[in-house]
Amino acid sequence: MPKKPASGRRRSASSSKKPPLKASWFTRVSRWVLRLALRITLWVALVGVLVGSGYLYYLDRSISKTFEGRRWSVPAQVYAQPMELYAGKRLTNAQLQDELLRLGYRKTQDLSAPGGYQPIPGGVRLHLRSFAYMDAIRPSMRITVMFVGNRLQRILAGNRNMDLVRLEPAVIGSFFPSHGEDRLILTPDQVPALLAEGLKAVEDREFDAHKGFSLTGIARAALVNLRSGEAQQGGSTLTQQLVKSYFLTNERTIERKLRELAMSIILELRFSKEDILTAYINEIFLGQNGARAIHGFGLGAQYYFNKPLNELPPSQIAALISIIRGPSYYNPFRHPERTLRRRNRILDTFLADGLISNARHQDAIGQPLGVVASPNSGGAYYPAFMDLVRAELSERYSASDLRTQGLRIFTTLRPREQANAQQAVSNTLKAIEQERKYEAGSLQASTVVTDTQTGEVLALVGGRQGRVDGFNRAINARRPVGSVIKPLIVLSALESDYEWSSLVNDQAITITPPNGEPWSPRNYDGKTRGAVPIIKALALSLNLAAVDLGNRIGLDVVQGRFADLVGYTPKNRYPSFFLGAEPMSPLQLAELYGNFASGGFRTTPKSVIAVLDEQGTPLSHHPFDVTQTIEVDTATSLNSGLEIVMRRGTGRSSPFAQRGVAGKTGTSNDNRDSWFAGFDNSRLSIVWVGRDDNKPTGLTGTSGALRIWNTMTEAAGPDPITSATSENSIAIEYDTGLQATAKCADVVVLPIRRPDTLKPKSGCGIKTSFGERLRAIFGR
Amino acid sequence: MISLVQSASSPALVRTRNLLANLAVVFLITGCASTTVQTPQPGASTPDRSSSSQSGRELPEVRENEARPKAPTIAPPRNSGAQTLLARADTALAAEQPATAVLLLERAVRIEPREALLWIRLSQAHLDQGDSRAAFQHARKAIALAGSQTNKRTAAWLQLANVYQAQGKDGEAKQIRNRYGRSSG
Repeated sequence: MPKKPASGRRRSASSSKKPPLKASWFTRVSRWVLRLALRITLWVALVGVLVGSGYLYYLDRSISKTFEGRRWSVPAQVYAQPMELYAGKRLTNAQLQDELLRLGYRKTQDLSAPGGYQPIPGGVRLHLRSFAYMDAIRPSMRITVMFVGNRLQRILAGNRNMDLVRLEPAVIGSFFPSHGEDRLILTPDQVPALLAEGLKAVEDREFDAHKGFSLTGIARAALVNLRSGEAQQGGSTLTQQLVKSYFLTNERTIERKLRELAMSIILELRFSKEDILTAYINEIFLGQNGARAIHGFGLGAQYYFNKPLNELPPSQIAALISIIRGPSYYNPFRHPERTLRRRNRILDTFLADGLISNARHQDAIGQPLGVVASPNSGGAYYPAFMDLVRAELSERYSASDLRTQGLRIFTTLRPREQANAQQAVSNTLKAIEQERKYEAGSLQASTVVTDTQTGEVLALVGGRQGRVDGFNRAINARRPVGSVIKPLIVLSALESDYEWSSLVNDQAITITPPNGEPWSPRNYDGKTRGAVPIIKALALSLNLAAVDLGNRIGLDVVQGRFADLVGYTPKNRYPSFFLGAEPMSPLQLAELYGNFASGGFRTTPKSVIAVLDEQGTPLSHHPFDVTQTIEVDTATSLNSGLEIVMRRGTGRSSPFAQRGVAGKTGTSNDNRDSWFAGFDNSRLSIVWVGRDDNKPTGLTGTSGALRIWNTMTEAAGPDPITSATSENSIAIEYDTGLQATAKCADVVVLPIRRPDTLKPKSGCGIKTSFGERLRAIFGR
Repeated sequence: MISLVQSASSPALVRTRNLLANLAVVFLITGCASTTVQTPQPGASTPDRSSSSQSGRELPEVRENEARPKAPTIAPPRNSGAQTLLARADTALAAEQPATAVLLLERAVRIEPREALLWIRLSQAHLDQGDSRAAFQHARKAIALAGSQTNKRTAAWLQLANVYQAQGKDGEAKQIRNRYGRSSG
């Protein structure tokens, strides 16, 4: 838009020589273009500022939210049962030291700090770590534990006798999110000074002064790297590394660098240096363990050294710092020498910066790397048991609660039992495969071990590779249980009018159920034995006798008892149920047998004791849940019969058969599944052996699962059943069920509710009871 | 699953009745225990400190050697660990902290699972929490485990009587007390 002339003087000056019309047009257009450009620039700048502010706002929101979120997003920690120490406990000095090693205690002469132990003649001295249990806090303390033989003799704190001391429980897992990031969150006061100062010395010298980035840092790194010829130092500040770690990406673009830089500056403006350093220490990626990403120094210390961070000596702090630069390149398990060289350079930096003395430097340089034997031997990790914990907690806690709320979950797992069970599974399967020349790795197995009285799960093995988070056969594999079901028929019989001495028919039979196919079961050996007492039929696991007994009692009655004992109705509504054509998981079978092993109480297997929040406030307690399902006398009687199964029947090959243990073997059709359910006074174990492809294994319950149980029992030590002997325990002949004595017949002693109904074996000198004489007279 | 936080809604009457009933059993059993249980020596006490700062569940000091009525001797748990925990659970019960008592007693049961005395106390602790179903089942368990140990069996049956009474089944309670009250002398 042309403007009017500015003044009269200019007009008079210009009136003498009129400007050419063409030039005036050009000038006007030029001015107009100039003004337009100026306006566009202003608008663009304005929009730019607006968009830029918006972007900065977005970056601010994004980084602040991530920072705050990560700061408080703490996966739940899951603990095993702590080992209780008290005078008289069956425990050897060696077993205690094993447990201490499992908990990451180190053997040392210097017990000034927690986490160390020192063997002494007849015992061990140790400095316990402090721990907040679900019912109390135990401060760190020094104790001496003395042993006599295989028993703990006494515990001393100074010269005081202690009645009871707990070790800390092992951390057995955590509920990390699906993206796999696991971490243990530390507060600033839990961060060792050497780690904080060491990180700055190695990674970011200007950390305390810079505002998120450091030009001198970049220059120094470039110089160092130029001199050494390798990338020894990076130019990124700790803040930049933290931001980079939050948004894991390997994209190397200017745009990403600028974004990181902006976010770093924002973090520095928003949060204190202490907050940023602590976040870094909790966040930085330190390694990968299967699906689990190890983040932060707290978890890193557990993963690599099986110790709390505050117990690491300078050499191990330096080793952890050395990993930051490249958790794969400086993987201490795969590249120990490379990591050791870098650790030593870092120790030199510690010395040069005056962070450690000459003497400590000398000592540290001489130390080996000191990582645990293998990635999985450190902080215990039991994925199969964790499945059970997860399932139990899912009723009450959301997955998000478990991943972010820092819950502390106390469980029933006993690491020693778990290690025994896992080892028994792995070793026995390997041995069977070698003996039978099977393809290595073709067999699988799973076990559940519970406390007989409380139903608490002490160990759970989901497959032969315990540390691998794979298919959990103990919980999810439902296979036909075979003869393991038979005690249920016998229970139903004992609850009716039957005695152990009652005769059943072990003879060929064909059953045609309504709406069903004709069914002709057979005994395992193909033979029939005619009339046999129930005890012999159970001990030898005679199929035809079991079907006969089941038919007499009635399928409905037996299945009704099944439902009482496990809480659900069986799937198979045909008589083949009597022979265990009913798929069950080892965990479900543990529930069924829990009724027997506990002496008549249903105790659903459980794994969680209590859940506490991050501050230690109890959120829920999961107490024992017992419900009487079987009369005490009947349960005692059934268990006596199951002891005979071990002494005389299919369990007799076990080295513990004569030592007061009860159990039952099971084999499914074509030897596809080999089962054993066994218990003593304190432990109930269910063992399954089979193949994942469900092909025949050639194994019976005796030649497969029982062998694993034998190995487990060997390691744990059997605890003979101490059920009170019934007043009605009577010797009966094993083959006939007639009342007899050991002098005149092959007898078994079992509770008989109505002794007057027993028929005596002739020639044994047993007087006929009055009731029997009456029955003889009246022909009943 | 139960909450550790005690329900404040239980009627005062039931509480009082439970308390009286339980005190009777406490007297009966702890009285017995005091004649045979070796109580922790002063200064030899437990290393675990109540986490009062965290949960507000501070345990009062254990007072031993107070005069108690004479009652038949009940053998204590076999090992010192369970004994110690039982003594602490008794203190918690006396201080009306049944939730703490349950934790301590379950810990003791993990050490000595077949000790009827511990299950009797667990029944009592559940009853104090107002959970009569659990109290009933734990008493049944105690009876089963007591087996032929006469005094423990008596104590277990009397605990079951307490449960019946709390459930308003006075007839059943009376029947048990008639049978076992006398024999407990």
